[in-house]
Amino acid sequence: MSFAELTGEFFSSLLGRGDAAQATIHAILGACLAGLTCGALGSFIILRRMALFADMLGHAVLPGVAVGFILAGSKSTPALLLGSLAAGLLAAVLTRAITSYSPIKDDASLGITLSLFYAIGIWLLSWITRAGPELSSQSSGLNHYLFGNPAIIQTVDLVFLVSAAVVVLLLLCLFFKELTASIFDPSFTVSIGLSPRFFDGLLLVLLTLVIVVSLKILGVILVAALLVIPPAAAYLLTDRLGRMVALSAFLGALSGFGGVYLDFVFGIGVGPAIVCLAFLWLMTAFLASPHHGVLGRYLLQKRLELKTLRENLLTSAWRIGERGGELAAIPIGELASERGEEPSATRLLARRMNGSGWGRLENDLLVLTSKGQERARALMRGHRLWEIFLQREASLAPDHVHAGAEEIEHFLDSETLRELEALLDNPETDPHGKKIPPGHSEEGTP
Amino acid sequence: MTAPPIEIHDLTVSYDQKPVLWNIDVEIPEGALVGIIGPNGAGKSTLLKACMGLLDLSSGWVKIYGDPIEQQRETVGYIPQREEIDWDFPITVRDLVLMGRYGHLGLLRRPGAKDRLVADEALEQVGMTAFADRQIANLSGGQQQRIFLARALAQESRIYLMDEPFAGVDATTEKTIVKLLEQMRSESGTLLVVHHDLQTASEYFDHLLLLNRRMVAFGPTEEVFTEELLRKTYGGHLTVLSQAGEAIRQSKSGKK
Repeated sequence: MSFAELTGEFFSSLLGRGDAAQATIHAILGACLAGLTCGALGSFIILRRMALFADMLGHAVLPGVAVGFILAGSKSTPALLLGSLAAGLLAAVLTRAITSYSPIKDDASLGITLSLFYAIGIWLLSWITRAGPELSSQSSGLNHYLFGNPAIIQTVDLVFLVSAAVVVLLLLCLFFKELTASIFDPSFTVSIGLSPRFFDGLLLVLLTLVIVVSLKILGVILVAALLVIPPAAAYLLTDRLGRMVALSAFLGALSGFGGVYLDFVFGIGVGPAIVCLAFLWLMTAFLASPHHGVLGRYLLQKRLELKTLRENLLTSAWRIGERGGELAAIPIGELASERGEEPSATRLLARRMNGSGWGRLENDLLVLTSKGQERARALMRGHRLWEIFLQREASLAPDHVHAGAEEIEHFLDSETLRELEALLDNPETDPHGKKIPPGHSEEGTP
Repeated sequence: MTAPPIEIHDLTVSYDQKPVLWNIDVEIPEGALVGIIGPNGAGKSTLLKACMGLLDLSSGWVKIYGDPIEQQRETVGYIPQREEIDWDFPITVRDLVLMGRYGHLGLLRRPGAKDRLVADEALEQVGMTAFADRQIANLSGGQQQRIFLARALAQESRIYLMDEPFAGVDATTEKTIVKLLEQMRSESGTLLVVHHDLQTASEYFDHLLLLNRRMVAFGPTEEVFTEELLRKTYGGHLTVLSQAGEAIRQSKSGKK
């Protein structure tokens, strides 16, 4: 079947009845709920720098699954959940104990617990399959906890996912300000009578809970991805914690839905699809985020470069005007000799003046508008005031001053200009004896 | 007689079993603007943290108006060092200042209109109103220090403990802070400020606490800011204390 047909079948199966449709709907609900809850909680986790800890916990619950199964004698969901919860908390305590009672550091300690618990889990699972027939006959499907498989999500799993989502979101809302304070500034938090340790504990319990209910979707190995990647993407997109949590929950749920869909169409496995999608959001945020995005920064830099280039043309034009040239229309040849470059190079630069509102290239003349002439005057004024400032305050020799001033006029704002004027007492000539264009201080770099 | 704002009795604090503060005994009088000065590693920050109950004490106690700190949390505002914070944290200037109200709010309650008003006034006082909606990373060092002060102002405490509020600030901010300290002292009461610059110490503070592992002197600035006492604080005579501390640590942890 083609991609489009499969997509059509995916969406029509959501409306249909029967076991297949129900399984798909269960898978989608499960994956979305897991993504939502992991995304919301994960925001606090990555800010608290517990991402590796979450990864460790994900692996460490495996022996709990096995022990829960052995004790209950069947894949009773509550038994497996309780077992996992116990194993997760035990692993957390062990990790903490290693760093507290030895000089071994956090990362090593996490690595030790992760591999130890995971090893015990694998060992127990293989023991179960080799144990007596009554146990091993029940055990088929335990492997789903290793790699995850939303296709086996049943109503009881959804009940647990919903309950966990409600508990986690409720507690995050209730303790939002306390969690913020304790992650952001633990010393201050103690000083207002709250215990950051308590809130660390709360995060730990919620984390274990979320991991345990999400296991069937992603498996022990990939579950940390939903706790880390959507929050990381949201972190790049916003500067406020509340929005970060909401956005991360949304991206998590979207990854969950998209993962089930991609698996349906391409059969690549839900877990890997969810992780790849989450990473896609992260890459998008990395490139396109308004504040932190690579693309945004690149465009900003390009804009600055263009502005600097245009402004340098304006100051060159002003110098020619000072010597009696016609500022409104300057021949490219004169401009080129003033700037010490080939006319062809200057012509290329002057063409980039088009669209600035300051002027344009016309009949081999750089034609400046009145706005452009005004800007040239303001730039020259800033440049020369700054030169005087450098010479007086930093005691630079006049022939050293020029290079330092060349850059700054592009960035002088009106406030700095006003301060310069006051400081320098409105001088009329610069260190080279050139006249400083008169002006008023409202004309800084816009 | 009413209890003094801060009373420290026989305070000893150790890190990793190595004492870093020895037998501090001092009563800070009401309305004092106290500068804590001493060389690097003298235990200045440790003293503040011990007063705030952030550290386990090896011996002694600290009382705030006669009570343990735990019962007087709302009385004492604390400004940690700027370096202790992750300035990339997704929080705006206004929300950081609002944090100063959390102690008054108690668990589960959200800041209300009154709290926002107090926070905005605090921002106004430190001249940072224009930056209220900025994320905190996009500020200069001096501006970051000022919003910390604004958060403390929003706490409306009677005692303030400040860890190096002058560290790495520009001249404008330094002036603003000096004015604010004076104002906070006259409005609310007692301030304990860790300060690293000897040159300005005598100018900014009316009391000085000279510290180098133990308390060298405490008193009004004109009595304590003497060459002899400063030499005692910064001189080499006290290295023996740090050697003794190292010896204690080694014997307790079983290393020779």
